[in-house]
Amino acid sequence: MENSTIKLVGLSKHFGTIVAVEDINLTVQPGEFVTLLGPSGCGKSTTLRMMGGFEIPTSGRIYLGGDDVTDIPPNKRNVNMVFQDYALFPHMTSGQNIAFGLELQGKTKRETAQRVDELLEFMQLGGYKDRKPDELSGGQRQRVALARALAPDPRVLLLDEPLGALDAKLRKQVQIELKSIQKRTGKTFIFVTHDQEEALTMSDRVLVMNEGRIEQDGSPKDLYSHPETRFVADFIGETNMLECTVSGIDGKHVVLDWAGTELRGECRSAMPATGQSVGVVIRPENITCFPTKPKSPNVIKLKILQRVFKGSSTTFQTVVDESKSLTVTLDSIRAEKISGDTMWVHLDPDYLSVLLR
Amino acid sequence: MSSKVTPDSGSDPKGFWSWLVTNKIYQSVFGFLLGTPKRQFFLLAFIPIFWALFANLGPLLKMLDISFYEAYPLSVGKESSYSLAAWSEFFQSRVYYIPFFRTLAFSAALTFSALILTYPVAYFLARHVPQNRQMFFLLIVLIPFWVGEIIRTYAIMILLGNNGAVNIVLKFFGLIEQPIPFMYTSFSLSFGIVYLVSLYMLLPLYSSLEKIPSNMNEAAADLGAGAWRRFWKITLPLSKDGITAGCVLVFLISTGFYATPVILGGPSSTLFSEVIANTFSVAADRWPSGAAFSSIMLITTLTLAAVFLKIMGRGGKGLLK
Amino acid sequence: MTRHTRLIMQMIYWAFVLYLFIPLSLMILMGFKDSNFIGFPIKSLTLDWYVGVIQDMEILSIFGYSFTIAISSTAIALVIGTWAAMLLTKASFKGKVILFALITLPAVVPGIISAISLRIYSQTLGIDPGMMAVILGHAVHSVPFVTLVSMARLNSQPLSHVEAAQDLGADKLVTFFRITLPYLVPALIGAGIFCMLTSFDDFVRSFFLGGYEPTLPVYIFAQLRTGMSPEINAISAVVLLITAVMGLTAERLLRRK
Ligand SMILES: Nc1ncnc2c1ncn2[C@@H]1O[C@H](COP(=O)(O)OP(=O)(O)OP(=O)(O)O)[C@@H](O)[C@H]1O
Ligand SMILES: [Mg+2]
Repeated sequence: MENSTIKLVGLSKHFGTIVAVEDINLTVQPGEFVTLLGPSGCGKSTTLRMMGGFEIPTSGRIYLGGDDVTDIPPNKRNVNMVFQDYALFPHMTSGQNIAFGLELQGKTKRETAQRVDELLEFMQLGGYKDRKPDELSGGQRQRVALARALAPDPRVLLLDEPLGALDAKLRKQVQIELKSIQKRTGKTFIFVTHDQEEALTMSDRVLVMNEGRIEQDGSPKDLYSHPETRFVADFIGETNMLECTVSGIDGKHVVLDWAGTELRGECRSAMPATGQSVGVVIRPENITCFPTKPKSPNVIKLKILQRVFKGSSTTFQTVVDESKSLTVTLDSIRAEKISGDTMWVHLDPDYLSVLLR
Repeated sequence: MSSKVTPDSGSDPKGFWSWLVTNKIYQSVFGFLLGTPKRQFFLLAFIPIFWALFANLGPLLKMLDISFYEAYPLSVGKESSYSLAAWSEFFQSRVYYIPFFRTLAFSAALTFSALILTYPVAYFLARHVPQNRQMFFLLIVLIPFWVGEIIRTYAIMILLGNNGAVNIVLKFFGLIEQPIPFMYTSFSLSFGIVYLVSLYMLLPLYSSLEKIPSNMNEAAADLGAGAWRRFWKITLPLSKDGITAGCVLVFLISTGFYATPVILGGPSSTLFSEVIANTFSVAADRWPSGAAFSSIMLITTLTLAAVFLKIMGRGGKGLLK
Repeated sequence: MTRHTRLIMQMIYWAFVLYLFIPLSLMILMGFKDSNFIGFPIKSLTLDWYVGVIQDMEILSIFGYSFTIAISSTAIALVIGTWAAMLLTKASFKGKVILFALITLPAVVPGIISAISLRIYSQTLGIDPGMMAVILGHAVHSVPFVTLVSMARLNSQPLSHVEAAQDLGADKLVTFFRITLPYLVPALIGAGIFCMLTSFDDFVRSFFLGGYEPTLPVYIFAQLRTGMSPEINAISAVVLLITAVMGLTAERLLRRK
């Protein structure tokens, strides 16, 4: 526990009868970039606000570096927040905004000035010290907000959709910047977004939330390739969902019956029972294809209905028979080799995830 | 990235806020006062609640109390005793209740006149003046209202006097031989009060009319509704809030004028405020009567206003979330 | 058709403007009349009356007295009004609606009753008629206005500004003085000027609560009872000028975003 920066134990928040957050457990290591990802209203902000001290949990505990801070008000918590609207104080210049937290730590004038300059330079805001927030661009405001939150040297930085107010192009650029700032400062970032691409690009670790609970906690790669629930599979990227029945276990693989087609898939959680109906997912681009029948298991023949050229990749809408369809994405170079209206595909069992929920 | 500031032995003063929050006295005093939500609430609530009770409710309750006294201020050595005399006095003489009912009727009539007078003005401002120039047009009519009651009343005297502008103009055109005695009549008084209060009607009307989306009228015009029909069916109902607020405000304000009736009114138009004030004159000094009369008037006007608000279906205050 | 109504409307508006301005213009004009008698015809003009007002020590001291009262009552109203607005917008508690009604009560009490009740009240509190009583009376009248204006402004303050301040280590008091108060300032200056205007113009409270020293409207009223004179016109015109300038300033500040 002493090794963690922030730790949530059984954290719940109810607003009257609304359950905003339910039984969240999370341990964050120092220097991690953790993202809370989920659809609107799933409780991301509420979780973050409880960490910041703005909401009092209905039950559960929050530890900061080993100390229980559940009942400590925000002004006494060594945690800072970057707000979605940045919440820059409109009557203060960038410099004064950044100095705000330092002054309240009782720093002297010189210490404050030094730290402010250091941060302005770090954020490449050198010439903007004396500008008021309404004289700054969206990206500059975002950086001032970040500098202000970093200034008091918090243990953890909380960011609630800080890129939401930026336009798409700037957003991409700032994503990269933000990640590099996190790397260079070595701070623990807890980031909230409902944009899955943003989450996958920036994070070391992503928590997918749904209806106040954590659905899955893992690296971006894990989430993408090995979703554990239907919700996660559905929420992140495009996917094929195959409705199957379990017909047995074969070593580490599950033997599945996909409406008459036998498949093998992997299951990361407890093995399912024979006869159980399960969802099985595979990403369109994790399907490999051959013009002729290869010699391996998990191979099926597909009838191509439509091919859509998307530049570097090409997507095929295909069917196995009238009840079963699959979407396959291939490199356009490989796709060119597929002619005619059928193809053979291999569904690698390691990418064919069996979902119990 | 932690700050690499070395502690400096030289003079490095703290800014005001740094100094304040690290000050031991501040920390202990406000650490305590802001320590719990209860104490924070107390700190926030104490003064406003005190003011509401002491300065707002206190005078009215004390007035009610005094109205039940036998006599007040008490002459030396006399004990106060309670009595209903002051209240029953009101019902016993025409000199009291006639001005009372006159004031109510008068104020109601003036409220209606002000509504009729200012509605077209508000309508013009809100619907016909381009958005960017509305402020300017509004300011023009606002300026005269910043001048106080007395000065504007005086201006009316100059206008309506026997040698006033109106009489001179009428005489100039040969319409009259002798000046018309406008002054010290119900006419001069009504004219003066409407002059004083029309802004309080204009502003609520304007702000409610301004909120009506202009496409509403266009849509109705598309459906073939004529101008009058559009006004009755759309504009008027949608400006109901403004009408209600304006009427209540103007009614309450016009019942409360004192100097204007004294200056512009005559013996046949005595208003209740003058009756109340007379009980406080040095000669009379019948404070309990004044208190009782004021209480009767306050209760009546506020009840009427509340009933009116209820009828117009408007109660909640939007400012309280 | 629409152009027609528009024209009529425009005429009504300008007629209304004339209705408002003619009496005041006549009053200013009479202040230049070279005669003791108020009324038409005007034979010749003079500046004497205006010069007289500016040189008259008594009138200047009355101006000063009125200003002192206006400033003091406004200061009280600003503090109490802001405080009440903070309570009514930032805290949730039982009886909030009742408190709101009580705080804004003086706005709906007719002038004469407000004056009489305060007269009685100050007597029972042992405050003699005079400056203290007038200041209290004007403050009572101004608090609802300040409260309403501040509440409107506070309701538009983003919650995140306050939260950000707390997040950076500010307690409630520091947050108020460094974040919320600066946000309120334009509204408070505007409201303050209007309170000063109201106090400066007020007759009925000043009349019943005042002692021997009159405020300006009370002085004019007393003069009027002995008869009209161009001197009153000159005083009134000066007051008119001052109030117009103050009002325009306040209007600018209140509308500023
Ligand atoms: N103060 C509150 N009072 C009542 N319900 C609330 C409050 N704050 C949040 N909720 C509810 O709690 C749930 C979770 O809200 P939250 O703001 O955490 O969602 P979110 O995941 O941040 O959504 P978004 O992506 O839209 O910001 C929602 O159903 C919301 O309506
Ligand atoms: Mg949110």
